[in-house]
Amino acid sequence: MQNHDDEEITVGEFVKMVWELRAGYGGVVQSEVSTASLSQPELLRYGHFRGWLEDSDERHPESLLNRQIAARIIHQFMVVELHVPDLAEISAAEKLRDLYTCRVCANHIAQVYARGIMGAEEVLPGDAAATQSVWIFNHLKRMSFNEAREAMERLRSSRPERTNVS
Amino acid sequence: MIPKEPAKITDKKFRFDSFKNGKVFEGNKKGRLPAMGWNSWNAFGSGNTEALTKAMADKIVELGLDKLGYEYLVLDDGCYKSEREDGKLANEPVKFPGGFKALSDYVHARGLKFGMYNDIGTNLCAGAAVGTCGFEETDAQSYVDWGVDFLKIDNCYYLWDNATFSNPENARYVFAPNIKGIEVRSAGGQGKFKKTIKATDGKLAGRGAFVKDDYVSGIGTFDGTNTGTSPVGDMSGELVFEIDVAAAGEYELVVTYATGRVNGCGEWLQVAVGEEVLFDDLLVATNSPEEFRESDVIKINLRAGLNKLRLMNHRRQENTLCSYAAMLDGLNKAKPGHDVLLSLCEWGKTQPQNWGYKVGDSWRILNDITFRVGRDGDAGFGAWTDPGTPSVTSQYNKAVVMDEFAGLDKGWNDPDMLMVGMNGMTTQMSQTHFTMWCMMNSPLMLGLDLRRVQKGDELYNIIANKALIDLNQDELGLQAKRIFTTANTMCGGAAVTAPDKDYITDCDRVDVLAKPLSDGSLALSFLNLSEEKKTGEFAVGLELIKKFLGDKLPTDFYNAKSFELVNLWSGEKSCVSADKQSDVVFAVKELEACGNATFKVIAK
Repeated sequence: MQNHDDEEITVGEFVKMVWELRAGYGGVVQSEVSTASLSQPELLRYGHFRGWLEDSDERHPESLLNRQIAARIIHQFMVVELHVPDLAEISAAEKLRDLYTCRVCANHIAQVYARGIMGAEEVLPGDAAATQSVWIFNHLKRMSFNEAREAMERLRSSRPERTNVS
Repeated sequence: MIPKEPAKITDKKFRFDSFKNGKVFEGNKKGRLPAMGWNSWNAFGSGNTEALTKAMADKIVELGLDKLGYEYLVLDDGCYKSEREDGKLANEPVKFPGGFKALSDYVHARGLKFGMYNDIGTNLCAGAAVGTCGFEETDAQSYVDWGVDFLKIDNCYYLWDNATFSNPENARYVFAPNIKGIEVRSAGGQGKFKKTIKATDGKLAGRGAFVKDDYVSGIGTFDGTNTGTSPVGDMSGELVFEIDVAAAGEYELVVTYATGRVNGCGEWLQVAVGEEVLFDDLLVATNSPEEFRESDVIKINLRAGLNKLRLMNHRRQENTLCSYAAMLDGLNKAKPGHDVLLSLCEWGKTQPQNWGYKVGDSWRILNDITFRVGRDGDAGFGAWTDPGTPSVTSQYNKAVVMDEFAGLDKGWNDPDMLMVGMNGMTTQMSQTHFTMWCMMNSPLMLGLDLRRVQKGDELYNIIANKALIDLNQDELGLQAKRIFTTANTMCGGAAVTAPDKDYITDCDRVDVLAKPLSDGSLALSFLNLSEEKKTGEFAVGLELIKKFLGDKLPTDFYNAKSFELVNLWSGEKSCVSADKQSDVVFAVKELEACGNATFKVIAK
């Protein structure tokens, strides 16, 4: 079935999208499993065991994906499966007003934002006295198929120069 | 069952006006020194596992850290199954396959104590829908069954505040509406008394409330999660009217107000006459924070003469206190006389230095010290300075002026877990970070992968410095006081006049901390917060020490003319003496970037 670009995407659908990117990551990746197709339950179980998915992802793949979960999955996938080390310089992400409101997500968000994989939103702050707009990541906003595909494309194009990974 | 509204407060012990009475709640034992141990968060984040935890337990014993006082081994976020099992907490099946009781037994078998983590909200910060909110008794029973000795309780997804992942509109519970005026009149139109007062003619008490145009806004407790506001003094604001009536009895109050669901303007109003709270609830919402209406009649009792009528909202603090108290009650029921240590982790949001002592053993003072935690094979990153909370100095700058809130009869300010061993932390930074935490009686929770530590190596020599740990664990239980600083201005730009109280955020400075010890000696620490070496003479004399510490040091100390100084990092000994006490000076001439010189000063 064809998905409409502006439809919201589920965690399970996003995980599949991320996993499919792996094969197109320029042969950088060598993993413990072959690239042969996995069923969704197998993929979710595999991701959970590998540590780039959480218990909740495996248990509820039908949940709608929000931006903080997307950032976590992308970042963890990059580290665990793509062997991409974290950026040391993440100061670009410090412009996000809500970066540090979530200790668990902050590094995931900083890493995907600083690499340009996920963007930010300019909004007026919810403060009676404030007048200037600020940039936020907007953790809980749902993601559409189109936004997920765009993030995957940016992840693909963020691929570092070919490295030998043993 | 998750509650639908904040707790009805029927006992004055939960009220703001009881915060200063010194009374602690049942089951909260006092007289404990700052906790020491290892916490999984800075080392492994949500990626901690049973295998890693067991390795840490083994390593604590192998390194002899247990003999130095590191006794608690705490599982932070990421260890639970993502939802309840038959209404109960359960272990994350992949990371902790053996379950918590078996792991607790493993830890206890090594002579250590076992700690866990949860949240007063509906979910944990990492997302699992297993927060204690509404499940306090069930969860307390689980913790007792698992043999838990320590509980760190976080604040994400909290229902009654605009906390992390909470609905931002929860500000409705946190602030009073904007107030334009009040009318007080005789009840039922029976008497002649009727007085209308503009809000701008009332008195703004405390801190935070302000006049905007013709109304008063910002009535509530301001948020202490981030840097930039002093933790000393009033943390909330009220609008107060003086009402003079001839006859005692029941009167009617009508408030002209407008509501919002944003910082500074909410929907929850408390009305008190003196300390008697007479109204404590949401008001009918208005269309905007500037579209005013009159409230329904609020019945109040006034006495003959002058009455202090207070319009306020202290629910931010009271609700959070009630939530932590529910967990403490749960533990009391599950195991009367329990010895579980409660580590409050609401990030300083509701100014827990005012009330935390009632239910907890320590309270976090800010948001996290780092957001770039490690994982297996990656030490994570720690910063020395940052405009926000994630740095050593951000946490220190606030904690160092909070000594009045700490003590054996209260508990401890918690500037978060140690970052010794993380990337970005130099030797000098790590030594000074450790020194600061020891001097400030902060909990000493290691946050590194202990497999990286070997006896006698650099990391070991920092975290196992017994002389420094002895300061932290000194039985007198006094947090050091800052008695001198080279800084001229405090946060906000005003001149520094009281180094022990003034909140200073400019880190281009040297501070001197002084901490009385139980053997009558003094710990003195010269701290260079700057990332450049400092030279000159940084000195404090006996008179200055006496001015700040007074009778916390014995008279013999002040009468002495000769002192032995032991450098607590090098072990070197030196002497300071003078012909008269007023000439005694303790000084250092240079301090490395981010370095410290810390001495035990013994009167001879």
